[in-house]
Amino acid sequence: MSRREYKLLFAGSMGAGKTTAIACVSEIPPVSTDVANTDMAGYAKATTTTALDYGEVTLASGDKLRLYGTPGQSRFDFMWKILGGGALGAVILVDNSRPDPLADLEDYLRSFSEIVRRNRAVVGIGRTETHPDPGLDAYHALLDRMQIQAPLLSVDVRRRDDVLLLLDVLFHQIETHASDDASDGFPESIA
Amino acid sequence: MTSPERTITTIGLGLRDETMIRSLVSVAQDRPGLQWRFVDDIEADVALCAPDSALARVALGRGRQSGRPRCVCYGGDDVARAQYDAAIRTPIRVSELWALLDTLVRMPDGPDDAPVPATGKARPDLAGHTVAHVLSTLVGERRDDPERWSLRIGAIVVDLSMPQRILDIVAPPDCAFDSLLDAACTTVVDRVVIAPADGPVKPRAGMKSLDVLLWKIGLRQAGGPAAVWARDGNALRLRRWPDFGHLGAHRPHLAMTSQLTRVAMTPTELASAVGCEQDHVRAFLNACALLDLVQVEAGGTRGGAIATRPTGGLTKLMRSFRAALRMGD
Repeated sequence: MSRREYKLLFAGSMGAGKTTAIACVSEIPPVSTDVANTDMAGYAKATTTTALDYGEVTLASGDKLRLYGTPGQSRFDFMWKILGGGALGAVILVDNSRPDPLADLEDYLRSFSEIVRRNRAVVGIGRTETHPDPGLDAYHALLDRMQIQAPLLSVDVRRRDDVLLLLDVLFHQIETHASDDASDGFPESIA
Repeated sequence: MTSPERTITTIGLGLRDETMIRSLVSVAQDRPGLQWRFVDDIEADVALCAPDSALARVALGRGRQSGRPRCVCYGGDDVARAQYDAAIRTPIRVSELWALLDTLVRMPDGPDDAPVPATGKARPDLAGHTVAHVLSTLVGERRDDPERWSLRIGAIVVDLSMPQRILDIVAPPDCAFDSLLDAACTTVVDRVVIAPADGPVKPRAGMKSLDVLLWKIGLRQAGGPAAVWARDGNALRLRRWPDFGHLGAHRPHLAMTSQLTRVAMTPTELASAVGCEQDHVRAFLNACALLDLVQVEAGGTRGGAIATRPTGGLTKLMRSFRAALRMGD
């Protein structure tokens, strides 16, 4: 009997916590493809994800929930659209300590516009305790300007409960908005 | 050495309520700390007043002039409660009564004794209102000025920074957040003063979130001051998601938010849509209203069809995701 597969995406800039978030919930150690970070001026991190992170969760039925983390560096942005195809939903993570986190979020909202406009995205803003500016009001103003409504939560993805909260919100959005898109089926498999 | 003593009386209460208060005071004689004695004298330290009593108005006048008695509104609505030093809802809970009395006796004897800023502008329009009303008014004004707001709530003095939505409990020095929350649910605000600040307040350990305080006040007061849901025919929606990462989340709240950010609903429709008790819906709406998140769609306009409770394959799939991730109920 063929198993069904469902895909969730974790997107966000380098250092936003995608690998950490997947590691929190994956039943297997996340598979990461790291290379040297070529943007040391922008971010003091020795390695970064070049293609993607991968984790998975097995459902009681044997079906798989596959978790994909997108590469954060802008030179891999062509991967974002490829990975976004067929995704059930997306968790977009923002690092509030970056120089322009609002611009970062705007990039991801545009790149994943189809998922976002179908209300299948949730945004997690990290490092707000140490870097309180910009505040959530500024992010909401950005969403208003883009005429988008999406859940915005301040989180610390090192805490499993915060990652589960993001996913729980996403699942509620998927359920609530399912009736809005009559042509929407479930992405049953990954190419 | 005997413990210090304070006196309490009732004004305008029915015989049954007065007898109950006398009994409570009598059986609490072994309570540690401050002792209370019931007296039949308007010149007591604290008077529990029926708001519709003419003698209660006399007591209020005396209290404003001389600081005694401290008048507590026994029951009553928001309008009545706003005139008193504190309020207690009926039927009373013993623990709430003692917490209230303990707070009242620590209040300074006069309105000018509290440690409020020496310079600043008073907001007399806000004094005498419930904490929820004052805080939600300030939130609704959406002030971005780097000012410091100082509030006196009974014996507690709190500094607020509105742009940063943080608060600092200035006095008493050992006052816990839960004590502030208790006071905020039972006591009116005596005084509001705005003082200029030299730029944004520097967050430090011990400072609390204004939004968390408002959220918790709201959840405790299902029928509270922001009861916009009470108007017939109005559908409500949320203009954005609360920050559950900061406030704390319960799954019914997530379900309600998901519905109300999509389409406007009456509280009854919302309760049905998410399978929740109406009291829980009201508490949630009250908390959202205090954070200025609720929009009223007069006349029940919706902006979309109400989504029925998801059933079948989709619900089963989401449930299997939650189970596999060990999310719990």
